[in-house]
Formats: sequence, structure tokens, C-alpha cells
Amino acid sequence: MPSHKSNRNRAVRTGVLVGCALALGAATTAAADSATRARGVDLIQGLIAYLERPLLRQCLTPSAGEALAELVGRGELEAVLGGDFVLVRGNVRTDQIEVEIGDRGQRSYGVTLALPGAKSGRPNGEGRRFLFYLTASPGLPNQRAREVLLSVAELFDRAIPESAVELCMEGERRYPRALILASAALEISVVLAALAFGLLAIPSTGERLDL
Amino acid sequence: MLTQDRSASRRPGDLKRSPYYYTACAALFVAGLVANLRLAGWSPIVWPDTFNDEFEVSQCLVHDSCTLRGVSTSVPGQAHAVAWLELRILLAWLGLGLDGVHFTMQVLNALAAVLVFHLATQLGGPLAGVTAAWIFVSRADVLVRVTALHNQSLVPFLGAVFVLACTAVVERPGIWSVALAALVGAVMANVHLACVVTGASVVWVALTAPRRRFLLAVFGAASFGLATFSIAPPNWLHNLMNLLQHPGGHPPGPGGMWENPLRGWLLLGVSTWLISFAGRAPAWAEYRRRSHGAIAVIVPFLAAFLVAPLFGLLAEPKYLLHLKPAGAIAAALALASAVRGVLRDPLRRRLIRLEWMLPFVLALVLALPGRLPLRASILAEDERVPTIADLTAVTRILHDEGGWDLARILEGLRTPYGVVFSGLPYLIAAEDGRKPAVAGLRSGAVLLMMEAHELPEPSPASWRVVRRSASAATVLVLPQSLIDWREFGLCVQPAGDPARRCEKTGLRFDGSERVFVPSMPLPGQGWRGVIEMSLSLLPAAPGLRQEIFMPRMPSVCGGQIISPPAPGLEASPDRRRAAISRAGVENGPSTVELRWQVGSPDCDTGAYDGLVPFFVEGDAATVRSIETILREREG
Repeated sequence: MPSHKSNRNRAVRTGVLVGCALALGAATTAAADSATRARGVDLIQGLIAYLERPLLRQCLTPSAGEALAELVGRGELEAVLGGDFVLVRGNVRTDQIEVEIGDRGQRSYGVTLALPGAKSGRPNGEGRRFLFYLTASPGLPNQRAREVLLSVAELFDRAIPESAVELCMEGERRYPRALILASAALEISVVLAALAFGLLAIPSTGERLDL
Repeated sequence: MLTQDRSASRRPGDLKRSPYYYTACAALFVAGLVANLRLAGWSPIVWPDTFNDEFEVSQCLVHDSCTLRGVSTSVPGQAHAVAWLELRILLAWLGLGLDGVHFTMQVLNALAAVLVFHLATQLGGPLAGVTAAWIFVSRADVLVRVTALHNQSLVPFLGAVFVLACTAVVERPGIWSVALAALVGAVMANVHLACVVTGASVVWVALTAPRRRFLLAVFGAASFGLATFSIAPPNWLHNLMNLLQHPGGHPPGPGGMWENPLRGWLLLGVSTWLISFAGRAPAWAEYRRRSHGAIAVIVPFLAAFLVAPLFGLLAEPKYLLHLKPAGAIAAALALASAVRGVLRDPLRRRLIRLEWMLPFVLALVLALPGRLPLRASILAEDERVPTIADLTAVTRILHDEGGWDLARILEGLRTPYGVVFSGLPYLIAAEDGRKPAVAGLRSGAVLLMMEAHELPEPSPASWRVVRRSASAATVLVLPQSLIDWREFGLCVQPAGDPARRCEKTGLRFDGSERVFVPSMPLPGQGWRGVIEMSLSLLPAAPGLRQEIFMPRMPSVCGGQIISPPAPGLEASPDRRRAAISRAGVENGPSTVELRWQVGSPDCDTGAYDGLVPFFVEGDAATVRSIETILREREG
């Protein structure tokens, strides 16, 4: 009569073999079938969204660029620029807007309107939805340019409707320092424990090996 | 036949915590550290990976914004090294700078050599231990650039700990030993993606258990998978997603398996182990058992390494780095066993004492100055790239002594080592506002590495020797410069495109104080075409003679001076040198035009780094002295 232990071992072996077969089958199917791969991608994206949901990044929709184009078309920007500056470039990215203006001497000055979390560093100003980052320019600091840039940034910030900002899957979540330091300390502990165990567990050989 | 060595109990330091054995280990550690410092240097070289990591370290420590997504690998869409970043962040939090972290890596590498010696000695006697330590230390530079600081700096030590853990599973199979091996494997897999195969090694050694082997194997696999994932869930999820989206989407890569010095040792260890299956003597089984831990580390990765090119993955020798400890042990056990098999009993006993002197002999050889046993290795003194310590000294000279702020340094420093600019923001805090340019002459700064014999004696007054060794010197030259770097004209014409785009631009700094030039083509994308710059010259006193020289150096985009003939400006026939003279010329040239053709023999696409290519400009005496040295190199 088979013992309980041998039955259990047999069950474990069977389970392992079946599990391996299933995994192999899944891998083969996934490799061969693009539809299955796409479903896998969707599943993982959903898992990522679930895990990172509290801090999903904000992104700009195309309506952000449309709102700015309308603003410029109405001439509201010229009132802020005055006669001393002209708009050189405006670039709407996924999570920030880059604006460049030029003065009469063809020197360029820039400001970036960034959604929270989109840019690192200390902002030079803040609006309803955006943080303002002035681009350092070579040459003598132009205080007038700084004031104009911040005014332009505030104007743009007010012009972007709420509907132009949405949650998106782009970018990555950032984590607190304490978590990283704890993780590193844990990894070091694991290595030290393995080191200590290995040094103690492996006996010396008093024998000589003859081949 | 297995024989009991009756003198084992009287053998000095018989592996049982004797002062002799500890002294041997200590000697090997010190000697290994000396050898590693000769190989890697006291300060790491400036290296892109180092500064990319440093960006994340500073984001985490300064802004409390830390990533769990690692850096990109050679495999498109895959990322790794989160554990390396975490350890870097911890060391920085403890106050260690880049030099301190680099020194820590050398200490760990020396410790790894002792671990390899100890494990091999435990398994096969001191001859095996010394042989394994020798194999591990020799040619340490070949698989990876040891003078640089990056995630692979930690891999040799972790590889030694892992083979120790796997051997512990073979010797003491159980939940704890399997769990520890799995956890070490998980840490390794998060330091370097190539180490993800350690999971298979954990399963292998778990299956050697005499009882409940399948249960232990499943437990080991589950522990490894869970621990690997838990260290960096976003990283692994994105890796998996990219793998599903782009399975094998690139052409077969080149196989590098056979082009590395480790292959011989790996093949020796594995083939001897396989041959042992043909023997029936118990000694063969004992040999296989002792080698099992090392073989379990080697074989799964070798198998994956051999088939990787078929799936479009690069099989570069550097990915074998974590196998070096296991390979050294497997080969040493095979060699030691063969030697003992050849020697007869009386001679074998007489050699016992000699064998126990070998660790001290090896320590002495490692510690000796000169190249033995590091023959054919590239030592730190052979590097011709500045180190972090060089960069720190340069910023001290320019910032502390010269009063330059970060923006001025990024603007005024010229060097053929473009990666230097990525590291400067981490060595000097950005200051609010910028110092106004002084009208007239400004000091420039040129950072170069020279052979010791190239250094003029005595050094001119404008030369500052930052670091000097027997073979090389790092030099900071401070010429009097006339170029106004605040703004310059830039024209870009891609190859095959008739359109030529011109605009005013200059050096800019992003939110992280990284320097870039707007409208310059992005580097690293194989861009080809023509870049022309029109540089304004600051007003200067009459009688001043300035020169410009366009060098031809490896990894430097070589250009030409294309200014049309004008009073006060003379260009050489090869357009590589120009003299600007204000003597008697009131309104001398106000600009100088330079041109680079990216994708030409003088400027390889790989040499273009997106910034202003390196050239030398300043007072005639200083430029001539540098030009003489650089032209001699071209010859």
C-alpha cells in the first residue's frame, strides 16, 4: 500500500510537471499568437495602471494646443509681449509647454510650463495647473524678459481648459527615498546573511581526491 | 580512491579557523585590494553610465523622487540595475562620493577573491583555492572596464556570494539555504538583467537535495520570482510588457561567447565535470558533488548565452562577468584533482606544506609593483580619460580659484572628453544668476590628458598639472580666449538635404543644469551632414595675436576653419589653423567661421556628441604648444 509520503511526493511531482507543461504551453501560445500577446500586454498594462493608479501622470490633450492657437489668434499675447518681444516658438509636449520669445537683438528667452511631476528642479513661478521654469540664457540677465516670460506663462496657464489635462499612462511613478533606502538595506542584509550561512555551512574536506 | 589524510589534523590552518588560515585570507585580501586599485585606480574615469546613475541618485536624495525603473540595456525595451541604483543611493546617503563608491567596489572585489579562495579551498584544498583566486584576479579588466563605475562593478562580488550560496544548498539542502540562494539571485537579477538566469541555478541546486527535491525546487523558483519582482515591480512589468510587444524583433546578434579569456576556464570546469560521469569510482561522485554548486551557476547561463544570438540578443562577453567566480572554482577543482591524481602518495604528502604556502606566494605576487600578475591587463595608469578626481580638481581651480560659476565652466571649458560636461553639475552647485562677462579678454580652459613625455618642462605659466603619474598627466590649460560663447550663429544641413537651416543659438542649460545646444542635431542617432558655426570675437587690444587649431583625435569630430580671407586673419592651407592678429588693424575680424562634416573621415558619426566639437583657441603661445603635441600624435 503506497505510503502517504510517497503519494504526496507523487502529487508534487505531478503538479510540477503539469505546471511546467502549462507554462510551456502558455509561452508557446503567446510566442506564436499575436492576439494572445496583445491580450497579455493589455493585462499587464491594466496591472501597471492598478499599481500606479494613485500617481498616474497628467498629460496634455490636443485641445491644449488648440486653446493656445486661439489665444494667439485673438492677439492677447501681443498685449503681454509689448513691442519689445516677439513669440519665436511654442511647443506643446505631452506634459509641458515650451515657449520661446525673442527681443530686438534677436536674443532668445524661454519658459516651460510643466504639469506637476513633469519636470524636476525648483520652479520660478506657479499657475493654476502649471509650474513655470525659466530657461537660463547666456549673457546679461534681462529682468524685463523674465517679467514678460512669467506673464506669458500665466496667460497660457489661464487659457488651458481643464478638459485639456487628463491622466495618462506615459511616464513613470516616482517613489520616496525611505522606500529605496529600506530596500537597499534589505538587499545588503540578504547578501550578508547568505555570506554568513555559506561560510558556516560548507564543511572543509579532510580528504584527498584521487582520480 | 578516497584516502583520509592522517596529517589533516596537524596540517597548518586546516580549514578550521586557525590563525594561519586567517592570516592567509587577510594577506590575500590586502594583496587583492592592492591589485584591484592598480587595475581600477582610486577614482573612476568619467563615464556616461556613472553620470546617468548620478542623475537618479541626486533626484532621489535631493528631491525625494526616486525611480524603480532601471536604466536601458543593450536589449531594446528592457531595463535593469534598480538594485544598483538603490545601493548607490544608500552609499551616497551615507556620505560616500563617487570616489568612495569606487573604492568600496575595489574592497568588495578583493573580498570576492578571498571568498573564491576560501570556497575552493574548502572544496578541494589549498592548491584549488590558490588556483581559483589566481584565475579570478587575473585579466579582471577584459570582460568589463574596471576603471569605470557602473552596475557591473558589483557583479563579481555578488557572483562570488551566489556560488557560495549555491554550494551551501548542495552541502546543507533545506528551506533556508534555498531561500538565501534565491534571494541573492534576486538581488543579482536586479543589478544586471543577465543574472536573471540565476533562478535556473537555484532550481538546479535545489534538485540535488536527497529529499523533497521537487518541493525545494518549486520553493526556490517561487522565492526567486517573487523576490526579483518585489525589488522593482514597475521595472519588471515594463520589461515583460515590452517583451510581449516586441518578441525577438531584432536581427540575430553577434555571438561573443568565444571571444573572451574566461571561455577556457569555463569549458575546463564543465567538461571535466561531464567526463567524471564516465568514472565509477566514489571519488568521481565526490568530485561532482563538490563542484555541483559552481556547475549549477555556470551551465544554465552558458546554455542561455549560446542560444541568445538565435533570438536576436547580443551575447557579449561582459555578460559572463558573474560567472567568473564559479568558473574559477570549477576549473581550479578540476586542475587540483588532476594534479593530485597524477602525484603518488609520498610526493603528495610532502607537498602539503608547500601547498599551504601558496596563498602567501600569491598574495606576494599580487602585491608586487609592476604588471605581473596583471600582465596584459589595462591598468588605471594606462587610461587616457580623466577621472572624477581630475574633474573635481578642475572645478576647484576654475570655481574656487577662478571664480567661475557652473554656467561659465560649461561655457568656457573645452575638452575632447565630452562626457565631462555630464558630470560637472554634480560636482559644483548651480548658482543663481551668472557672472557677467568681462569685456575684452577672457580666460578659456582646455582639459587634456597627455603622455608624461609630452608634458613640456618646465610647464608654461598657463598650464596647471591636475594629476601626474609615471606615464601620463591630466592638464588644465588656461589660454586667453577671444570667443564670445554667449551666442553664436549655427547652420545645419543634413546630408542629401538641400535645405540649410541657420539661426542664432548658444549653450543652454536644462532644469538639471545639463548643457545642450538648441538646434544642434541629436547625437547617437547616426546623423550625417554639415554643421557650420559663426563665432563672435570679443574686442581686444591691438597687437594681440590669437590662434585657432582644429585637432584630429580619436573620438573627436575634426573640423575646418572656413573664414574667408580678411585683414588680420590668416588660415593655413589645410584650413586647420588660423591666426587672428589685431596688430595695426583697428577693426580686425569680428567673427570666425568653423565647419564640421559629420560622417566624414575627419568626423565619425560616433565622435559627434551634440555639443560644440573640440578645438583649441587662445593666445598664440598656448595654442602652439598644444598644437605641437597633438600634431605629433597624428604623426
